[in-house]
Amino acid sequence: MIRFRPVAGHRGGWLSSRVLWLGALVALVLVGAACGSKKTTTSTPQAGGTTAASDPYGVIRIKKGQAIDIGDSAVLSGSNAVLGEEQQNAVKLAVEQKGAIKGFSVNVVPGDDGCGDAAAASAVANRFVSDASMAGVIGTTCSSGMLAALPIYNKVHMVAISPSATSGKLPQQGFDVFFRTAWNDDNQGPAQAKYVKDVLKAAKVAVLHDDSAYGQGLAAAFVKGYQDSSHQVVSNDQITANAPDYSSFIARIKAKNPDFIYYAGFFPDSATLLRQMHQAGLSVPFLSGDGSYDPGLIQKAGKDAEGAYVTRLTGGTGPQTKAFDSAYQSKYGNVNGAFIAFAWDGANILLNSIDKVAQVDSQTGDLLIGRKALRDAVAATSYDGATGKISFLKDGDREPSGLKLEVAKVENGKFVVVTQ
Amino acid sequence: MEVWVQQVVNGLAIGGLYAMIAVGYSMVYGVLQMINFAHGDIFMLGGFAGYLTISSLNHTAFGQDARFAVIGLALLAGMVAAPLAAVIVERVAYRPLRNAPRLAPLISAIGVSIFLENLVLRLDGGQPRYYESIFPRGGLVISGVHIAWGQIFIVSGAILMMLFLQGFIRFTRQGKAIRAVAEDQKVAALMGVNVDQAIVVTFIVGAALAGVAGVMWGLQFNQVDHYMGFVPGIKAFTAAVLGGIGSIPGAMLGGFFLGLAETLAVQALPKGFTNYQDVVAFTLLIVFLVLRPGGMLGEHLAKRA
Amino acid sequence: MPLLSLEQLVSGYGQIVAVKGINVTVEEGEIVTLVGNNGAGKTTTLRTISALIRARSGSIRFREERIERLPPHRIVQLGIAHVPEGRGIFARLSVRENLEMGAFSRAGDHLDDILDRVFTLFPRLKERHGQAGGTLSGGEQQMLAIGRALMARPTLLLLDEPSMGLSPILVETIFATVQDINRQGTTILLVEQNALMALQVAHRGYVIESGRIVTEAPAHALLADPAVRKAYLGEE
Ligand SMILES: Nc1ncnc2c1ncn2[C@@H]1O[C@H](COP(=O)(O)OP(=O)(O)OP(=O)(O)O)[C@@H](O)[C@H]1O
Ligand SMILES: [Mg+2]
Repeated sequence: MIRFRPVAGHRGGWLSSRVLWLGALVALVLVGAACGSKKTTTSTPQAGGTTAASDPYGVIRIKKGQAIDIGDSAVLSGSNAVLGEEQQNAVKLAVEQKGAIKGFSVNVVPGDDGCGDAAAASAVANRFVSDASMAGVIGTTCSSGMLAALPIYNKVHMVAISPSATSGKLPQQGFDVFFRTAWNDDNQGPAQAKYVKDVLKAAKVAVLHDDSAYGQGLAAAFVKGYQDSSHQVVSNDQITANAPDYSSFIARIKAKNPDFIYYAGFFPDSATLLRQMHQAGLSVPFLSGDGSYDPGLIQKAGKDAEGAYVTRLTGGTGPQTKAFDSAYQSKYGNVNGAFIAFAWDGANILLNSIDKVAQVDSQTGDLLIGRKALRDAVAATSYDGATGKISFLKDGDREPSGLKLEVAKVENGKFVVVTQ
Repeated sequence: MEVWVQQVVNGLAIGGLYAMIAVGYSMVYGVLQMINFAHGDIFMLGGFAGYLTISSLNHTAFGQDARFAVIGLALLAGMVAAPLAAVIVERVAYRPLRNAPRLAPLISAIGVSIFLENLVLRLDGGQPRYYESIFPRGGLVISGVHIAWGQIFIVSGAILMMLFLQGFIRFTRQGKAIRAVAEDQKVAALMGVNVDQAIVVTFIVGAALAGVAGVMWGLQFNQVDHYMGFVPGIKAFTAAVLGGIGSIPGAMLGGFFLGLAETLAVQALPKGFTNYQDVVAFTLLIVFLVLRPGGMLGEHLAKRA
Repeated sequence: MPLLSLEQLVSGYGQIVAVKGINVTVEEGEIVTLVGNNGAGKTTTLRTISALIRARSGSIRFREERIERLPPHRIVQLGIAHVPEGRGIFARLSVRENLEMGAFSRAGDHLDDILDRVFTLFPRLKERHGQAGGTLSGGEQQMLAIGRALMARPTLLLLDEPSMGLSPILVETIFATVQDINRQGTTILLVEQNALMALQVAHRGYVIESGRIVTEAPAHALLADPAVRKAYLGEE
């Protein structure tokens, strides 16, 4: 399929083919180098070392005086860049608050994964796994990127904790390095459906999604929960993500006389849809999920955002919610993005787990982090974070108990939470 | 029926923007037989110039009082900034390669494109910028068909600029010079045409239209970012080929045709395939070109190529 | 003082030196012809005068002024019009538009009387004024090319093989017209492979071989020169 503008605003189309070619070239060079010299990439266990030194997945060795790297794979350019920036801010905040780990400072390495761009997410993953000081990764931002990046992280057993990749497909991939602090869309879709039926009382919904792993999965979950004898899905279409003009899609669904528009996708496209719905005189309520729950929606759509609904899942407030909110707010301002707190929680889980398993080599003074030990520590997490209590299921998904749907409505240029 | 009319309106609006960008591809190809791959990025710079104008004026007393003046100034900014960039690009990246093998300027153009995208990325960050909602909302409703003011503005603006351009090319001295250079640079020089100057004017005219299109794009679709030129650039280039590259009316026709094709495709496609609109549009293009390789109005090209 | 003089002019393309230090003068009012075989350097000489190619060394003077560094459009403005080899008709422009392009260097001039003059010289062009240049016959195109050059009201007209590809009768007509033009006051530098015709209309002639002038003489003397007759007029 010709995809002239993939989900990632930045690296689509030919640029991603440029990246591909470059990647292929780099891969060739690397293969050549690997054949030429028998250099091992992961450190071998040290004789007479600590327990971490005999980790079955290998050991990350941070030389004395150097920093522990943690990767931040996020969308940093293009339409969705706000999401990545928020993620990065939250990760940096957590790292600052944590301070040094066993005398080793922590360094955040950013990588622009372009949201839905498989090539960009893979490129970032390849860069991260070749960094010998990298302990683990926060990211990716979007589900499509995670699908592409997971096999790469898995190969070297590098933990990747996504704050916002919510697709139902991800835990099914069977990679034990995968974790997420966000909840599965399979929880959100049905909850949205229930709200649209019971509270907003819509009977004829037009469904749109952006054909990304996230959009597809969430829309399917919504449709499944919504459709019954008295609730009809009058149309279910996919749009081309990040396109400027959806007027033709809107004309198409308007002809079906829906009394409600549901969209599964990210905020920039929600904004475009809202603006052009207005232009086309289609004035029915609009609801979208956590991908659209970002102030960027209001910024981009302006007045046309008024009355729109967005939703996200919350685990209620945790003991740290207030502290985090005020810390983030005082540093970066607005804390309204759906996934900011999830990124902060994810970073804290990663940092705490490193803290738990890292050991200082008594002979060299280097820091040793066993890869399996770290993974297991993350898997065993029980953490009271800003987004509530966090523990992980076997497949890396976040344990869903106590989950609630939060619905916000745009009123006077602000998200106002309308659920309790 | 009504929905099809609505789709035609939608298609003409986006097509008008493609048409305005396409002209630049076609004109430059006409005089240099070169595909100016950086043209989409020149369009992007126009969009940014408009953004800067609007965001800096909109909150002043003047901006509050005279919204239409602000829109006018934004369009003017696009019309000035884009040609300025195009002139520099031509001088630095294309002119030194005028007598080099054909591939060289093409590669140079791709380089310029990457350069401009990354320049804006570095200067402005990867965040998209949103035009403030300055353009009048709403529009006309004619028996159920909604025509937004923005759409009316784009289509009439595109047609008006095309008419101006046709007049310029047909009747002015510079226009004649450009036509002569497009036919034969050497002979044009023998007629007393300053070939370098005619080429620069060609870039200026094409970039002016693209710059205005960039501002209109921002006004209509609200967002500009460093990468916004890529897809419209490809589409406008396609439109230029479709219309018969080298032909200005062809570029315009091709732009509207492509806009209509991708819009009507959304209406015509079955459920589950609506985002195949580009596939449909480009399949049409391929079929069309197989049947009529010179494009709609490009019968002379086949002879020359 | 000659109208045009080339001194030690060297010119060529990349590695190829096609004109190897020639000296040529053209006096006001003359028809001077440059004859020579294929590849001798005739076209290159004219292109260098018009600045389509840069002179490598030597000088070109027009009315005493050095012009070899000027760009082509300035040369036309000085009054040198060039009918290029192969005619160079703008195929997509109409006959009339082609002629108007010829007057491009004379911005602001009224074109009517000069157009009349061209149409009197070439009535055929008047009949076909709306037709696209590319659709004219070879002979008509040659007329158009010459007519177009005249539109610039040149002092000096450079003609590159006006006889090429034309029927003998048409060649006669064209050369008669060339003489007409000259009589009306335009100096002409005529490049030809058809040495017989060229020498019949010219006042003086140069013979060029492999980029060098080998003979220079009044036209009638060259016509009588046995060596020239043998080499260029096909006599045994
Ligand atoms: N564009 C060019 N590039 C390289 N070499 C060229 C070019 N044009 C001409 N030449 C070479 O320069 C030399 C002189 O060519 P020129 O065209 O001046 O000859 P001519 O006397 O006009 O011949 P003809 O009577 O066949 O037109 C020839 O050897 C030719 O091959
Ligand atoms: Mg010649």
